[in-house]
Amino acid sequence: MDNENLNNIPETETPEIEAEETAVAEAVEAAESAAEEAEQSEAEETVSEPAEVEEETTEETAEDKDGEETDEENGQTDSDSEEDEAEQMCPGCNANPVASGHQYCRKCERKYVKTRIGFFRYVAGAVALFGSFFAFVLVSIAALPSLQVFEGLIYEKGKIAYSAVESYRGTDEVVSSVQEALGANSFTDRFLRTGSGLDGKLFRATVKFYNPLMAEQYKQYIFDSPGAEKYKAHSKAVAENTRIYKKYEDTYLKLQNVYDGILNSEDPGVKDGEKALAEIDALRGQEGVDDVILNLFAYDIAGMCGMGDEKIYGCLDKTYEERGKSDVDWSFLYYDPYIDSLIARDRDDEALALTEELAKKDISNEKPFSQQAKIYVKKGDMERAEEIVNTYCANNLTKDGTFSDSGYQMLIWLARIKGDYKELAETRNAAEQLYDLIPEYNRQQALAYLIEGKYDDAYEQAYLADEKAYYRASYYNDTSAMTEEIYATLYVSAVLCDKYGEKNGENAEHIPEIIESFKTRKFSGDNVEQIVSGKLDVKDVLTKGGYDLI
Amino acid sequence: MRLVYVIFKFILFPGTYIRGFWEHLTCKILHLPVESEGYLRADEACGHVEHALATTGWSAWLMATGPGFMMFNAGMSFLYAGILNIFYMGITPYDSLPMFIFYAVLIYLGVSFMCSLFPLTEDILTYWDIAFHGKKGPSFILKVISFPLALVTRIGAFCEKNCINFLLAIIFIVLHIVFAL
Repeated sequence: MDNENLNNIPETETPEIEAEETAVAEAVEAAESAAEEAEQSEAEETVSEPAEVEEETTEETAEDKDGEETDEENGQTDSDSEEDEAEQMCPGCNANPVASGHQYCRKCERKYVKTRIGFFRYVAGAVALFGSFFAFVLVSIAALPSLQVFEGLIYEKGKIAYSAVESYRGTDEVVSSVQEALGANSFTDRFLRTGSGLDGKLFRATVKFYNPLMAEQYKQYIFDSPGAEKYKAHSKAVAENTRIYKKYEDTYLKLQNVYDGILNSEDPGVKDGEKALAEIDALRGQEGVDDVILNLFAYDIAGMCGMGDEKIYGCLDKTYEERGKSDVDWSFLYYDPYIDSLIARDRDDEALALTEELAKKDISNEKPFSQQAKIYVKKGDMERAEEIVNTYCANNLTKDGTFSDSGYQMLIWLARIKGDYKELAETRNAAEQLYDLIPEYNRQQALAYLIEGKYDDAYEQAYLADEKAYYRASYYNDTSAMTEEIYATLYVSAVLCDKYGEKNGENAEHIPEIIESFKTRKFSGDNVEQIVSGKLDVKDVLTKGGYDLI
Repeated sequence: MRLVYVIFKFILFPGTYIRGFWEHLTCKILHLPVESEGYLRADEACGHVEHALATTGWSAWLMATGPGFMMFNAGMSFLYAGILNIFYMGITPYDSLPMFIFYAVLIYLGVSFMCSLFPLTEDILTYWDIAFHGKKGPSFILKVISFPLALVTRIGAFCEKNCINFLLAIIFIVLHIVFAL
């Protein structure tokens, strides 16, 4: 078929010609109706004059192409057009005239209408239809996990490292819940699963946003499990990280040695800390580590060695001031402690400005919201604090419409600050039904018991919090769960339970060893030391100022 | 351009063939004469059937958009079943070679269906003429409702005729690779 003249109608002129045909057909219909039968019977005669017909058809086509304007220019009458139209030949057989109001002669039209669709074609159509239905089912079951990955990609593009990593990590959980909803069967096992490409994304986000030391550890976690050799072959991120790591291995080893020296030291004190900080400073200017990372290491070391608030805050200030020296955005590593340090130093307005900026960037990150709420609590504006907590909770509901784990965490904290311990217990129970491995729920409960003077209960809850944190670190590689706050709560609870409690709880037997293990540990601030030595009342510490032990 | 068009249509033959089938079936349903019924052919009508133009608004609308509707639903399902599993769920040949090939084939099928989405220009121009220029067109409300899809179909038919849709399909896949891999 020639596309320029499909169905004998020039393609670009079709609307005009069609309109013209319709108009002409209507005009001549009455006159034609009587003559039509006669024309049909004379068809054979027309065939016997092919040269003449051919000539007329060619002329007609040329006229068609010129359209109405040409007709007007030539001064042709409507009756001329009617005559041409009436004599148009069937494009199918090119022998009979086209039937009035049709595009073929009657004979051809009857033949063409009866065209059959072959059996194989029906089969192909049915296969396509069922195949597309099956594909639709695949899309439906993969939609939710894919959305989770999509979120991660958006966060990654926006350089929101923490949320990107968390979104990727959460995908397997979404897959499990979809599998659970559909019921485990061979179909979901085969068609609903994540692949090593997702591990690659997770690792890439880690390499991009963490330092290569952390990435190297993470690589071991993801890729070095038995049978996971295959991942290495395809992941460019692994190769890139290994390359960087190998290139700067000496620098990293020196950095690691500083850490190991402190961790292995029997009595890490100020003297060791100074030496470690000097070793860190010696690494400045070497390739493979930038100043921002070294400042963060220095901050960690100052904290671990208990070098005092001034030194610790100094390291954080330096990290923040020199943040522009790195090509990579490490803000997710230093913003939280830096804002906490600002709050501790009563630089509330600076802290508030930073938290507002962070909260706008990522409404799913609970940390800036909880810091904002803490600042308002400190300022005595409980209503505003409550408003912030509620806003965060409302913006981060789960797909089932329940609060997120961090939403519950903030609600439990707020209940304790307000002194509503009944609400605290109820919220904690509800939260634990949904999220059973969040240490902070139990830590807040322990703090509430400490305020109430229920030291045995406080110790048991603190012990549970520590156990959950340890479990998360061991089985989910989530070392962030093992916070200084958890250790402080466990230590204080153990000491107070030992002094004033009945020591009849399930885990009371561990109290002496816990006290012994924390005796030499330096905690940030003086609160823990002073409560343990009896110089400060735990109730005063937990109901004023920062409302916490640290 | 005709050669490029035919080459692409043959490379993406599943969509080309099924498009022809849906057009043929629509013609049968509407009792429209089908002059030439080859679906895979080396000319501009590759993937279409040569048929008489519809004469009523409804049949012209169905002829212009009905097969495209079927192709769109199937194409999107195939395309996204493959894309979600390879680009988002991260299925690689290292996880399961047969599954990776299966999803890659789904992407190919999806692209081939989506590249045969639109009718020949004549079909949509026929509806356009009846609805927006003819005296026997549909009611004003139907005109308004059908206008956006008719416009998209008209633009799409132009793109398909000039192989622009193949270019768009390639850009679509490349964007996914850049964004999600």
